[in-house]
Amino acid sequence: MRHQNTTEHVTSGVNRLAGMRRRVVAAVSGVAGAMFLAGCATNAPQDTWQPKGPNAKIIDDLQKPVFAVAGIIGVIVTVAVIVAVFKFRDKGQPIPHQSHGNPALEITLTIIPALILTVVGVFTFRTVFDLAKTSDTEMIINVTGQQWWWEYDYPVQNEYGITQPIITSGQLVIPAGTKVLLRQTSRDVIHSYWIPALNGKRDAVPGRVHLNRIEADKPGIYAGQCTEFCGLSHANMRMEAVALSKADFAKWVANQLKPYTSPAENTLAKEGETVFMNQCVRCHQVNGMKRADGTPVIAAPDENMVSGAAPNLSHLMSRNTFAGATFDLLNKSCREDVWTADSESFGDKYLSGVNEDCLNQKDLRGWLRNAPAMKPMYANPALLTSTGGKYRGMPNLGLTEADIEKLVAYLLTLK
Amino acid sequence: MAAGIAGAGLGLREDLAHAKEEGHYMHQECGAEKSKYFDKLPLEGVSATSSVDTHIDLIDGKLVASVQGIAGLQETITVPRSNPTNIVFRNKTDGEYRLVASLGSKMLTDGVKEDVVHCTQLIPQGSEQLLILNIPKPAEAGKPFTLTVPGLTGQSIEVIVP
Amino acid sequence: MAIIERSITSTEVFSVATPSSSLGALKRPVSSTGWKSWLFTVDHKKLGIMYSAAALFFFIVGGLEAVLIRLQLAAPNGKVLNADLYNQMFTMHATTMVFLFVMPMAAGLANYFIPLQIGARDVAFPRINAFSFWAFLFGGIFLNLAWFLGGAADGGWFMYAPNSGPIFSPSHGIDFWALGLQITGIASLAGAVNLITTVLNMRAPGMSLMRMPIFTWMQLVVQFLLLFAVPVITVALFLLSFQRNFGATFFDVSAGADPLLWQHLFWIFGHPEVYILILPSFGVISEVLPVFSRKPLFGYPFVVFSGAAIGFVGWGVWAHHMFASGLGPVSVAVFSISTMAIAVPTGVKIVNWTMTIWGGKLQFTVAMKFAVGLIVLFTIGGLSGVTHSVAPSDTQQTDTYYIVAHFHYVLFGGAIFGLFSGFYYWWPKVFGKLLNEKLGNWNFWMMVIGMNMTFGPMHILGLQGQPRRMYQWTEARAGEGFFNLAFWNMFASIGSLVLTTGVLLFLINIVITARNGKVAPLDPWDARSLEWMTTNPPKEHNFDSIPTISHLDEFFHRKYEEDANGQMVKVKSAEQVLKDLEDNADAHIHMPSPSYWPIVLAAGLPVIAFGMIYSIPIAIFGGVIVLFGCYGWAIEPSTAPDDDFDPPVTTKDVVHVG
Repeated sequence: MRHQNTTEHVTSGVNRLAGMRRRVVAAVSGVAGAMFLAGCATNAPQDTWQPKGPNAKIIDDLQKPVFAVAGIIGVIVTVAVIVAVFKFRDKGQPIPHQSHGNPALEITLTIIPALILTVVGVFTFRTVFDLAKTSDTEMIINVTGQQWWWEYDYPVQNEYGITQPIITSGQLVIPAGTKVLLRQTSRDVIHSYWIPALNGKRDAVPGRVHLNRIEADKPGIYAGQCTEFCGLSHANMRMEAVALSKADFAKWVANQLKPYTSPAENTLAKEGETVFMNQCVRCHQVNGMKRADGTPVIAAPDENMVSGAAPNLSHLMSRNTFAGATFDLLNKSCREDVWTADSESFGDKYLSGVNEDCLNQKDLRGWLRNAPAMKPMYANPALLTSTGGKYRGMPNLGLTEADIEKLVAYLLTLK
Repeated sequence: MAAGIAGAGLGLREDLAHAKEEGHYMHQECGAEKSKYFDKLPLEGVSATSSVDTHIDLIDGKLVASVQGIAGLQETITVPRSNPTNIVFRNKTDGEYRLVASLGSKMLTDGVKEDVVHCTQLIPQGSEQLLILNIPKPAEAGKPFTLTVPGLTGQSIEVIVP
Repeated sequence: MAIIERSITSTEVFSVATPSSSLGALKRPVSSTGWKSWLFTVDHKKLGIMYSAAALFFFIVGGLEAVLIRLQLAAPNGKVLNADLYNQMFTMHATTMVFLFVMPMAAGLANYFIPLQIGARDVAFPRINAFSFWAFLFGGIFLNLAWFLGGAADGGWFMYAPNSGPIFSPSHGIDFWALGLQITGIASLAGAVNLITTVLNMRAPGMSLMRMPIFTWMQLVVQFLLLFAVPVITVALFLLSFQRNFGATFFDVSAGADPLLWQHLFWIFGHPEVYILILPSFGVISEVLPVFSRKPLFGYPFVVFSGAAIGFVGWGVWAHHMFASGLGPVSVAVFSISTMAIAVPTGVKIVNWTMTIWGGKLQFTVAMKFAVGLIVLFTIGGLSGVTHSVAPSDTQQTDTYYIVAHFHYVLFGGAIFGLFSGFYYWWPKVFGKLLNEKLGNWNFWMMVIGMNMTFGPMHILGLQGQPRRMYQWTEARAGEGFFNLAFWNMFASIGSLVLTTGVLLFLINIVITARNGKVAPLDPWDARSLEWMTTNPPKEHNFDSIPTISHLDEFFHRKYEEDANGQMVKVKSAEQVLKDLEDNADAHIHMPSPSYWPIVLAAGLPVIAFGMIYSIPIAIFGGVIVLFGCYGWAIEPSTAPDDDFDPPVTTKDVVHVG
């Protein structure tokens, strides 16, 4: 009958492909498997499988076995399906036995995964509480996220030489081998602090304070990114954790607490200071800066920025990134130098900061010339009716090239 | 529905209209005495538990801060500028007290300087109130920001804004 | 009830009926052909086709959005899309795929096949069914109008507060998003009530719940999930709309709000939502695999109960989307355990499907290929999901491309492959033609290869630290070596083009089949369930006589019986089984009549939404349309008077009047 022929026609046609298909499947699986095993980046700065601190190591010790188990189960299922596909294909056999099931088999194959997951569950439970411990905190740093940069302030902690609060941004400087607790919050939307080599991420939510442990085993620089969608420049909100030996950290603290020194008279840098006081202090604070009449300069970003703050630029050249760690203050070769330094020489390289030879002139000048062109920030006043004229990020100040020249010279003095 | 629409057409109740004109309930009165309007029916519980930065406790007349993440009781708290920070004041002392935040002063449009003072309502023992601080600038030298309890001398927690 | 049967009192055969003229100009629509018959139809089959066609259109829209994303990310510092446009693109890609493609496509299949599978002539509330479709369509169009009216929504499909508030997202895009989803939510909720009532009340005699086709079972669980999940998102969207349009402070931190409220509300909806997306496809392949293995579904009761278990336990895992959100160790640990628990019933299904094909007589039609593909690909996606359930590990994985890989494997390799399996399986039933198998093979292989090329590398990208939702990635974070993140990003983008070609082949297949496709025989697959006990396509009233059910896989048992040796032998052909039904045709069949009111009522909803965004008088006008629609609907009887449909005298085409 017509009906039978059509079914047979359809199925016999596809059976002809079976042999060819076997070869194709084998080939594809082989290539895919090989690629997967070989196919990873080396030295990916945010690799989650290369822990460099105890918290990340605890996570890694838990996750590697789980991945292995999952991988094995995946292979078992795939192999079972592939075997079934070839073994039981229609070779003209009669209609098979109409088995409705096998409860014993089902229950066994349900209990086995349940048992595996129970074991995983027990270890997971313990690890969650392990990672949440804060009673052994040795140092506290407040982290505040804002569209699209991170601010760090170190409350007074005399045992580390921090006799006054220190405020920085972009690069989180910590002593290596120290249990640092970050108290994270945000000024505007939800951000997330993530340095994969040191710990899993924790969201920074406005109105809340979340605790996040960071500890690096050895001195070095550890890359991170904001990992909660926070608007236009979420992709450009980066940070690094910089771990220094205890001695080097003390040097860093001492440098941060050094009082402000105004540049010498009649230098380009002094003129730059004037430009800074006219243009930049609307938002950016440099601690200790004084006007001609001796009054301290207090920046007013609360009047100009939607989220109420802008990076504090004190000792700017002691860090080597800017604009939410999106751009480097160091040029390419100097940056290579710092990033590839081994743990012994890293501290010295980092503490030498940014000098004129190493300055990334292109990016810094580009930023001063037209920041929104380099990092999308909605700083266009025409789009700000909903914010009462306040900016979301640094606007294009319309500086002249001469001003930029002076500013760069001035900024270089902020060591 | 008709009754509701008719009611809306009649306007606000007398006492509410009066309160609106005089700004009775919008005015924070931060002294040690009980204010007629501001302290009327104070809220006595705060449902926020996980979003609190610091608890300021008045324990037997002594003001202390327990900061989330920092072990032990503190006498100063560090708060980032321009950041809405939730502080919960818990009164664990016999008597009615409020927490007052003195946050420097601000310049008004006509060149006059006005003190910035926020406070909670006056609450009895066992109650708590929420105070949201959003401090735009660091303190002027020599004039720190403080949290105090009017009526109790010498009890003060300094608020440091780096 | 919409469907009544009464005995004939006369021997009239073709009585031409006209609807009541009491409403004058608002006369009820009568045509059964032409565009009006589609616009005012309440026939579940026509609505099913329209749902699916609209969903397919949105699939193409969402797919184009995805291709643009991948083109932007093929190279570092891409210039295809600027940051603003990229944010809109990924938001709309996800929103379109989830709400405007998978959900309505599943609704389309449910609409078409649930009544057929349970032996009913339509759903319980046919006009509500029509309303659901039009509301979905208008909601989906409304959502996408934002592209032309100042920019689409740009806060991500999860739309976290406070970024979604008016200060941080000033354009109207999110307003269109929130209100558009409210409208489609109303559609889903009405549909859920409709289908639950249909399945619980209108099954053929003898069809107990455990004799019901598995596709209908999975859809029933889905409808219950919708019933309880949609109200939650409705609340969340109301809070958001009121904050954005009327100055409420639900998510305003300076007024004391906690942004985590949105997250909880969204994910209490969002997690059951993903089971809503996958269970229909599970249902489809649970039908397809037995047919093309020539043996029943292994462990039918286990599949049913594990589906129901997923439905229940799915409510207790939502905070696994919030492991990094600062919930505290107790909540995190508890949700981690519950998420592991839900892997168990899902794993049961994999066992059942594998054991269904094991020992069978496997025929690799395209539908079967997609079904087998689902088993493997969903397993991969499910296993990466198990790695997420380990909360500490998830704090490294969340918000990276590893998560993107996971959900695309379960959604593309799972939900979409299941839907495609359904297309190729059920096309002959719906349209009377077979989709071209050769082209279908190319379709399948391109999609499998493309899918793995696109989403496979994302596992590596994520584990090596590339976060998601970023309009560009940088070489500074891409690592070294040939197979660094730059390589895999480019590889994935090329894969997306392969995937696109695969989908294109499907569209071409549709066109070719429509033009000169092979006419399908009555029972091309020698299938098992009740929907195949009808003509191709089914008559308007589905069954000439409602069959009495005595087995699961009733159709199969009417064709085959066990002989003395325990072998299945064919005792009746499909044509004979159908003839049995036709010979016992019911004397009088009463079908629901078309109606204007569903589309009128549905049209009022976007008008209200426009009003909420732009100007209140427009909203009031929309409200008037809705009220008018409700009133007209309420006073209209479910069928026009004297709207009879007499049973056929012969097996030829019948004239449907009214």
